[in-house]
Amino acid sequence: MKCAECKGNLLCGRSKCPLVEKYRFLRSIRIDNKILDPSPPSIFVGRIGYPKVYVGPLVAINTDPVYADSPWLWKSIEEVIELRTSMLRTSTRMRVEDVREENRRIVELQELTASVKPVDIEAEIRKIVKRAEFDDVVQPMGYSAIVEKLTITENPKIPEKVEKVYYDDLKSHEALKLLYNHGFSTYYLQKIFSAGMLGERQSRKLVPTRWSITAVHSILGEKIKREIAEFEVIDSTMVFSFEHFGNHFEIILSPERYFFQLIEIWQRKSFWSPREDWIGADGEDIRPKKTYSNLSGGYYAARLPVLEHLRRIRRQASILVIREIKPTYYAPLGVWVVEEGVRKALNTKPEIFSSFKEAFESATLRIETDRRRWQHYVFRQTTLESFFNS
Amino acid sequence: MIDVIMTGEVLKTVTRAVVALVSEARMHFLEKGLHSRAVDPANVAMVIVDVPRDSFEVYNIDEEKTVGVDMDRVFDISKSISAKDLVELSVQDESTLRIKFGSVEYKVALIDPSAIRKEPKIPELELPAKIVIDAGEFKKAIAAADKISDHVVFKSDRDGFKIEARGDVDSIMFQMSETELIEFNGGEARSMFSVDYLKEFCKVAGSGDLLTIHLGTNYPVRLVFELVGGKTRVEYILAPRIEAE
Repeated sequence: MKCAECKGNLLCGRSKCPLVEKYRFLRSIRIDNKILDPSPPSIFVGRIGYPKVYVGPLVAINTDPVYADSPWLWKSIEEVIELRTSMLRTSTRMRVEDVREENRRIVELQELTASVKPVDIEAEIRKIVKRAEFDDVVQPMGYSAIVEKLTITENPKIPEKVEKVYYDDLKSHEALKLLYNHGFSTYYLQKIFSAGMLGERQSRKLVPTRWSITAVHSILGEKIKREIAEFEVIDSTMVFSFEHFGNHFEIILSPERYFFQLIEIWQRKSFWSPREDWIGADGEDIRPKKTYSNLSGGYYAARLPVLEHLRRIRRQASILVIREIKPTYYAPLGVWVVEEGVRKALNTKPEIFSSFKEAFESATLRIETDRRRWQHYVFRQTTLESFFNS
Repeated sequence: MIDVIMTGEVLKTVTRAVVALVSEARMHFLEKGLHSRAVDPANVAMVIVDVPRDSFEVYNIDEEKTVGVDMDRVFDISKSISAKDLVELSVQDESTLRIKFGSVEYKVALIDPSAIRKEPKIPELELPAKIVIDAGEFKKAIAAADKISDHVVFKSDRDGFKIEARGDVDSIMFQMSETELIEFNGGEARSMFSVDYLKEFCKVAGSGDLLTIHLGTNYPVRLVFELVGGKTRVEYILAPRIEAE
């Protein structure tokens, strides 16, 4: 059954139709053939047609541009859909290598992206594309418009550090680490990474938004892994728990060397699994993760905030993250739901246990899906030193 | 002063065995032969390599000596040496390792041994099951398991030795009875291990090499390979994965 055939009658088994919800908001949006509105700032780089892609700023049509681009502040699925669909995605077509030319059009786009404050944008609309799309990694999006004569009507304010990195010839992973350690959020870094502002100047490229999000999570995660490898292990077993947007997180940190495991349980009727429960797992040790996770972008989004936490407390640990996705998550909102969920969980006060077994028992009580269905995915990698002093 | 000659195959085997876990290691040139051991950064696996003096064509040391070696580089060079060709390793002063084969002389800076991660003590393990098997068979089982899961279960009981892997929709079982195994004591044991590590370990061995597995229950396993026609002994000790039950 395709969405187009069902037309919102919930034949798929979801609890609410994401397309209906989205169109409800879209109907209220009026767009002229001319744009004169602010961008949060934010840009979107499509992946269709790669390496010739659609790229352009997102423009806030009738919403607060800063709030509309601050995922950590959002509260409900309806609100997210409303906020994001009221952002118009403007685009023009470019080759991903075009950023190397550093012409005025490119530099304006990059300056706009790197700005710390909303920037007013002017453009003429040639064509509006009214297609609603949802994606597991990227945030929901509203209408899309092919535009001409896009200009910014004010001078964007760009942080000095970013400007320096832009003109330096650092490799992109070094630039990312530098800016991240300087306090820039992953959301900001994803934007400038996507706009092709990082890396050695003659190898810069536009990076489709979807890829840039996971790339930033993955690169920063591996960097922090190398930093925590030599830290002492934590003192006791801790359980953190948090739920938002129909995503429940249980996080167990055990006093052992770094090991990370994510179990994903998609309950029936949640967005990506309308017909049956779906369970998947993936994990890694301190060595760089070589193959792309079968849990895709969500894996890297869950790993980064845990590593952030360990680096902050200057310890290492063995980590189990259980993410249970409920039917109330009827529309995918992007992997920020995972990143923020895990980050917020780790900011709560943990319950302390004397063994993994007890911690696991306790965490299991808050997972709705029968544990017999998923617990065989859970394991811990032991170390030699836990058996004998090496 | 160290001056030893061995076949290309021995050098390749020794370095490959070590780079499975670490990129730098100490090499001890002892009276009884060459010895090296290391633990990987995750502290999950240990490698112990021994090449007895008799396995060398020439073995000249004026005293027992330890050098720090960039194993990655030496392994890389050893790949360009034919198995049967002779290769000479020598250390004249403290700073350089010379490797000569054919008309080629390769020199690489030594690493201060104290700058390399501390070496592990070799543990004494009491493991109930002992299985001797052709390393080529084992390698095939691990390669097959790798297709469907990132861990495997080793199981031993009176019926024989089993390796099991389970995927989302498929599973695989490798099974050998006492009569099919080269040696088997029928001991009862069961542990789960990361396929990633096992795959790396298998790279040193091939069909015709002997592998002795010492297995316990939820306990580290010892995998002892006899390689290059018995000239080289490589042992790996691997910590298990433990299920939540």
